[in-house]
Amino acid sequence: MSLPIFFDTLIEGLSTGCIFALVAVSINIMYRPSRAFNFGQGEFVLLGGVLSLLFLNSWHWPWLAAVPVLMLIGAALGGLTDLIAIRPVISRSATSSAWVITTLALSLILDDEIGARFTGATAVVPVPPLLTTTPMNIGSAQVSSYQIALLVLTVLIVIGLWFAYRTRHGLAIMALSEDREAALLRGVPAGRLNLVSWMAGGALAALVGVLAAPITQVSSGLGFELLIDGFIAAAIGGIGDNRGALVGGLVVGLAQSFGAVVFGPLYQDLASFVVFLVLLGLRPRGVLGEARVREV
Amino acid sequence: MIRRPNSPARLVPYTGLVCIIVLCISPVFLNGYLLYVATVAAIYALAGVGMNVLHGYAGQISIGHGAFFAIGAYVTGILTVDHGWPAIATVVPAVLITAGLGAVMCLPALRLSRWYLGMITLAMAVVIDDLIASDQSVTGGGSGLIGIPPVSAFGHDFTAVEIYLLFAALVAIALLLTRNLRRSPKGLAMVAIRESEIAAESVGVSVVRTKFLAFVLSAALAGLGGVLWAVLNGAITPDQFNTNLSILFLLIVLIGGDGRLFAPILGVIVLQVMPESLTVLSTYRELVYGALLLVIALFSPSGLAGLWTDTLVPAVRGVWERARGTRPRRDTADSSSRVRVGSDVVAQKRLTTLPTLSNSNPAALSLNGVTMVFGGLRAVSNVTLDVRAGSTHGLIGPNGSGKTTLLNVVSGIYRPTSGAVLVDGEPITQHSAAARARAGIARTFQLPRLLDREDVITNLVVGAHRLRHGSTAQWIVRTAQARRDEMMQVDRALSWLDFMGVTHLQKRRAGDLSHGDKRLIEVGRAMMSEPRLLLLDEPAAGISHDEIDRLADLIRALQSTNMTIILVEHHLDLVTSLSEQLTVMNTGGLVASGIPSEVIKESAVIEAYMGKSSLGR
Repeated sequence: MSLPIFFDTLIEGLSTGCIFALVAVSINIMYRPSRAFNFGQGEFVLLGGVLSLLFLNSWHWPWLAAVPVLMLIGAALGGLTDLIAIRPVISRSATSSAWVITTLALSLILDDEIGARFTGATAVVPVPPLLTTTPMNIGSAQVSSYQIALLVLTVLIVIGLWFAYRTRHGLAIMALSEDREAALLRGVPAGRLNLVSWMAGGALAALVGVLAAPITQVSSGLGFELLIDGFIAAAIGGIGDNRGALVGGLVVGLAQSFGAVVFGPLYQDLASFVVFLVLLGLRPRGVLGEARVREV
Repeated sequence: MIRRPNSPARLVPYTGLVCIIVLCISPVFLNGYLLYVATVAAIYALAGVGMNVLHGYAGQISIGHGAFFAIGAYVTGILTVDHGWPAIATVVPAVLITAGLGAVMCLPALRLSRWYLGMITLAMAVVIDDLIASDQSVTGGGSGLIGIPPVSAFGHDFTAVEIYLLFAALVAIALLLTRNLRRSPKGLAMVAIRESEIAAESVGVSVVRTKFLAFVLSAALAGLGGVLWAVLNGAITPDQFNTNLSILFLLIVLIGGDGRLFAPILGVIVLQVMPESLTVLSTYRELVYGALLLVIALFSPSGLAGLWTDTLVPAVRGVWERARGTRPRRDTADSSSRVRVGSDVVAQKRLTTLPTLSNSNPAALSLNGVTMVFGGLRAVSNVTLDVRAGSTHGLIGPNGSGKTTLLNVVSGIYRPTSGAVLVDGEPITQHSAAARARAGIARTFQLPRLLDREDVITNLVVGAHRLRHGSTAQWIVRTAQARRDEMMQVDRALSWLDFMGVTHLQKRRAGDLSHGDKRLIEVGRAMMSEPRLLLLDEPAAGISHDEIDRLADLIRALQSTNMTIILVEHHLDLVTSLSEQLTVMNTGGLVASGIPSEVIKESAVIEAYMGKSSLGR
């Protein structure tokens, strides 16, 4: 592999890795208070991407006006999922995993709806003001300002969340995650924190869809791929751990970009899946995770 | 009140069975497309039988069994088309390959929460679908494989009706074998894992090994389904095996009635036969699947079979018996009542003596400097303690003093941060909870952990797990020995129920019992394992005075069998009257240990319980 190809592959891997990391972070935000994983997260992201085509390309909204609206739609969707698929299930039994079925069900319904309305035409999606997807040369590497901004934004979101979880409400969410019963006894408003977290996760998912649109092709299969890659990123980092999600996302992105170059583009998903299985075997609680002691 | 055995109401449950059999035979009179639809339904039912083992019995979720189905189909396709094998000879390699792949896929996920398995199988299915679609040289890529020979034997090509009958017979055999599996110790272990992994370990079930068995069996059945699909259609393409197929298999079981024997049959009738007849629905497949999943998960967790056995049959029977004036009072056990585990009917015997315990070598327990640290909290700090074989050792202390943590260290739920646990001088510190249970350490929990959806008899029989041996093959064909063992365990369970005076509970669902009854049943489950060391964690907490008396009698009876017992308890009268030795814990350490009447007088003990000021008085 020549040096320019190596750098191109590296940068390609890092920027798709950021998208995977952000999907993983949005999964984590929802997972923390509820200990439930949204099987419809890929469709949330897809919806953000599809709607960004509509808002930015068809309706010509300015980027900065469209994004808050899209995030609000994402938040509404996240909140609705909590009310329909999560709350009824975990109020029946906190240890039930029936939410796998209910969130999967919502993802199928959503996928069908998006598929029915989305024609699948790919288009160039505008990027935020001041940025461009046109690459510039830095040494032997080609990087666009959008890719750099994406990486910076991803790191900032992870750092911002780290601080958010140290506020009063953030700590209450952590308490719910650690020991739901004990947190409820201390008066933590589980229902409200759950709803807020699922709305925040939905908003972030929609944002990821907007961010991904300029560098990945928006197609109806995208939701599914992002669900799987986002899950793998979250699981490599340890579910619930946002710093781990950042590491996991970049690992998945790099595994796919280098897998595609070394073994051929058909094998890029296989490459990330194999890396995932190996890491899961070695560090089942995540690369940064600690062994969790079971409660009795 | 004794129901007349020929009362037509007794036949109500069988009408369901008869309907199913009639429905399964009726396609013989069809032809053309409808017969083909029925044959496809039989294939899906076969994969559904596997999913029923995985999800219905063991409670594990897979969203990737469509990939095993695809691989079964492709192994048959490649071997017949490219290598000229006869179709029937491809069954063995196809099943072995899918089972092997299932084994590799599930292993990393089995130690983690069950939804991990769902996500990993989904990712696996996507990767496998991609590989099949993209690899031109082996699988034919997007255009697939054509020219798979039809089913034939002795030079005779099977007709469409014969193929249907052959496939339906395979489904019937699979149903029979999984029914046997469900009643075997392996099947009970799966159900125990579904209900509570910690309870399963506490009776000696190896959780990972049992989930592994369920996953591999279900992968093999999906693979076999794929083989049948290939020979039925003669041509396979990648788009026949998308993710919707994996979701269909899961949905078949959920709609049919998770864990019920006939769930796969009911599921395919609803999901395959009906939508195929109404072709409009096939356009909105994802939407329909999604809506059905949501409705089932939220409103009817036990599916159609549950609707039939829990709602319809009792209602019909009630109407009938009210009309005849023979409605028996609920929950009344009469001496002629019969008991079933699975569906095996055993006449009940009455016993009044203590059920025999064949082992007579109680274990001696030693703790050597045991420390257990959680983060910054020293829950147990440098505890050294000897429990004499055959004695009852009481363990008291205020809430949060580390009693339960110590019990968890002994039963293997926690590995201590430092120190050693020895049984009869042998260190067992590194043994898993299941391994310790198999060595004869039984326990109960502060909040009873029963198999809530199973009846009381099953809850007791699962306790005998460590005493029941034999291979999976032996159990699923139900050898004479397996049947004898099952009869014996049911008899033992009945004699324990009788001894505890709760025979009338035998057919009740454990989840419906009162708190006190749950505790008794949990003690009974521990006794079924003939333990050498019994750990009781606050058995008297939250039960009535009468129930405490009953419990005390039970523990005294157990003491007479020379068993070693550790009794963690807040009820001081109970613990001092039952224990030969009493140990007091406070803030993770030992405060005092000795003869109960002397220990409770020591000032440190009074201080731990009452606080410092009460000493001054």
